[in-house]
Amino acid sequence: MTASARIAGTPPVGGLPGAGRRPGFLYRRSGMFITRAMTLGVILAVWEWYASGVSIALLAPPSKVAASFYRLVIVEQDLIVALAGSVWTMFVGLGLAIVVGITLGMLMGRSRTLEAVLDPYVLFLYVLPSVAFVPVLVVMLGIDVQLRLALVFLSAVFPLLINTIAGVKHVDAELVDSGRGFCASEAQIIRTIILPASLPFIFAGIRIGFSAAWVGVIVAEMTALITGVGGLLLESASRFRTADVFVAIFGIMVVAVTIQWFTSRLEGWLTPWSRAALDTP
Amino acid sequence: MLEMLDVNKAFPTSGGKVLDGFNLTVDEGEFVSLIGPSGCGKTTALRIVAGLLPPSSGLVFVNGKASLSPSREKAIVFQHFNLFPWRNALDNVAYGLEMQGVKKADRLRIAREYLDLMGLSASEKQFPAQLSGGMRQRIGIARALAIAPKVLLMDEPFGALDALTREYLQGELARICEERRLTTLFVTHSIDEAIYLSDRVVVMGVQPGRVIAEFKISLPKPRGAYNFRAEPAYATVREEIWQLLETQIVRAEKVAS
Amino acid sequence: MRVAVRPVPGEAGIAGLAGWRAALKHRLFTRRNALRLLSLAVVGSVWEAWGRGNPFFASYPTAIMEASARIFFPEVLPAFVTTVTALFVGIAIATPIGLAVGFAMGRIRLADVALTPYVNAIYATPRIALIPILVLWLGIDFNLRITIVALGAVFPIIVNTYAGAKHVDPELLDIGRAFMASPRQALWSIVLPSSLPYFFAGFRIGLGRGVSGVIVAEMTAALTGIGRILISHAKYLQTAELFVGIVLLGLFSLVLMDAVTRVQRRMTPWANWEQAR
Repeated sequence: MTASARIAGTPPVGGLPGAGRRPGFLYRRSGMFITRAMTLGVILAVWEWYASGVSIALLAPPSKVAASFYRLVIVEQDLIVALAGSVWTMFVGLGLAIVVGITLGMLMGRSRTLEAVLDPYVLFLYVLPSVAFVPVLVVMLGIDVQLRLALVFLSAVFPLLINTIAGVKHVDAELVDSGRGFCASEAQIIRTIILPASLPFIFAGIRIGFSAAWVGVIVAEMTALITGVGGLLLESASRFRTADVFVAIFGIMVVAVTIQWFTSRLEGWLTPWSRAALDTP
Repeated sequence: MLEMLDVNKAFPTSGGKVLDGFNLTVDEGEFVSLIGPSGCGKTTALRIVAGLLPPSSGLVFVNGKASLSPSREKAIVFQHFNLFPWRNALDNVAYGLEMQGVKKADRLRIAREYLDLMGLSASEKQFPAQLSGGMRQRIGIARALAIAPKVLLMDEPFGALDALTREYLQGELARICEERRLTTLFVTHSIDEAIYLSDRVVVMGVQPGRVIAEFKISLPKPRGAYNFRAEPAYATVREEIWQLLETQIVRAEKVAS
Repeated sequence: MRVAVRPVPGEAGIAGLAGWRAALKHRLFTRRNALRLLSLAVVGSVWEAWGRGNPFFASYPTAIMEASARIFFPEVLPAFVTTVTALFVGIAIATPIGLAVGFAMGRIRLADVALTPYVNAIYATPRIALIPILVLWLGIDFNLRITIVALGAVFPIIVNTYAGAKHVDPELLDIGRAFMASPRQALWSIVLPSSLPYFFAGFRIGLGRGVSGVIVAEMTAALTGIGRILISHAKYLQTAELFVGIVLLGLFSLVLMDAVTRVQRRMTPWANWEQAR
């Protein structure tokens, strides 16, 4: 969506009636901001009105959520602590997944033998929803810190692996030939051609893996190990403190959106020659 | 300088022999064009010389020594440029030198020289995506020249460019090859281009894939300095080559169907 | 000239599946298949040997087969049916909504600007975080499961349909105008076919999220379904039975994804071809 937003200067041609009625306003920064602020206002107003007529155990109005937010973030800082723990676990598991995923992916991409030996398992585990790992891991590892790390790792490693393999395999053969024509050794070819050429695929894997890692942390925290922000959410829910639940959801959402923003920028930062970078002013 | 001796090439998947008793010699400093209908195997022949493809049988000699794999004495320029999109112009030109282990300072200096030779000093830091097709191919040529090869191999290098750029670059190439007395094997399907650039035009046939005729071009050089197309010698040789090619094109269609 | 089939980064793994099966059908006895078979045989044997010594850790193939013979028809199959029902109902709800919203956002600037932040934010949020609140609102079981599936599937469909609707090649639209197509004709003959490949990409992702959604919902809040089976067997350390569920789930996902890819290839054959250079 972010990439589309970058191209968002162009009004759609042949759109439905009503499109482009005020072409200027909705394309300017100010116009977009005002529209979104107004939408937010409307949503909050409807939410507040509807929630005041309903039991607070069912739906907390924005006012109460804001009060909870103040308490949990500023006064007691429970949310911050919880988020920190969760985020930390995610980074550790993700780091491991990146190292294993990319290394193994490069090897499997270059060696048909290795790929054939490993790919039944890789494919099976890739399509399996990562939540299905939880019961198995609980049986294998018990309810402990390793469970969280293992789940994060397993959630993130497969997209990374699969995308790296695809990236390596789709390096333009003619580029490799150029290298060979200049007498490059296999190691030089991997380092100077294969690796840079497969970066777009690797970044796609990182994007998916990063989001998957965050989901993995939350799943682990809410199903097996009641700690971190997932645990905070679950405990608040069990006490029917809906306002706190919303604050926890909000915290999870903020981290998730930040991850998205970060990973979509990452490709532009690290690969100055890519379209991702050249398109950004 | 370059000699191909009885080269045969058959691809296991497609069945027939693409090259069948292919013989070709290029003397030192000579510019030879290899021309033939599409699919006749001229690119295959060039890649065998470059060492990117092994022949089924036969030999290739460069400077008297057998040379069936890539070497420092050969450099190839591709039709689709094949620049590395993640390197800027300067680093692309320096690639061949880098693979040979030349120190950074030296290879950048040499790369700059050749970039300047092609008139692209101003675009040193730019990436291929930011440059036009003509500029990209000039970088491709600079990259090949930078390693100071004994033999320059070119596979329809101007085929992916528009007509005006193509004519401009033909002139540049003619100038550089003449100045440096480069031994060049140039694959093309344009008769006009072949006559413009070469000392000798070699026509290749299809089924069997081998040389069927050679034409020595005796029009004086540099051919850009006068209207060489107005010379009667040009018209004659062009017509002869065309007649020959026409029959080969018909053969190639029959083979393909 | 070169024509190549090139998967888009990100879809690599799933897109490879359908081509895989075709290759298998045509060339069953290849070196690669021999290697795969060998690998499976070796791992299977090691698993069997080690598992007999440690039956609770990861069970072993013969125990799993015995367990599946025992529990498949009485227990697993009915659970599977209810899971798949929830899945399909949820997808059936999500698809038209996703198409409509995605299309509206793609062609109507106001919808685009207003809704994009919320779509992105909710799309990014792990759905399991929403389950406690949804349980409060919807109770447990069927309605909850359908909602989780629909929530999972609708956003990829919205986002991808949006991308397709927004980026119809303006040159193709120019051709429509040059041949005097009315807005309705342009919509049906150009905009919709052009957006179809994007929709399929979103649909495939949505389906995957739907599957993981229904399993999560069943594991945490429901009384039926495959997820519930997984949890209850795990609780009693019945590892063999647990693996029956896992294997079934994995096979189901494989078959599902493959089926979607085939339908996609059939309905939008032009989407995978690259321009000849």
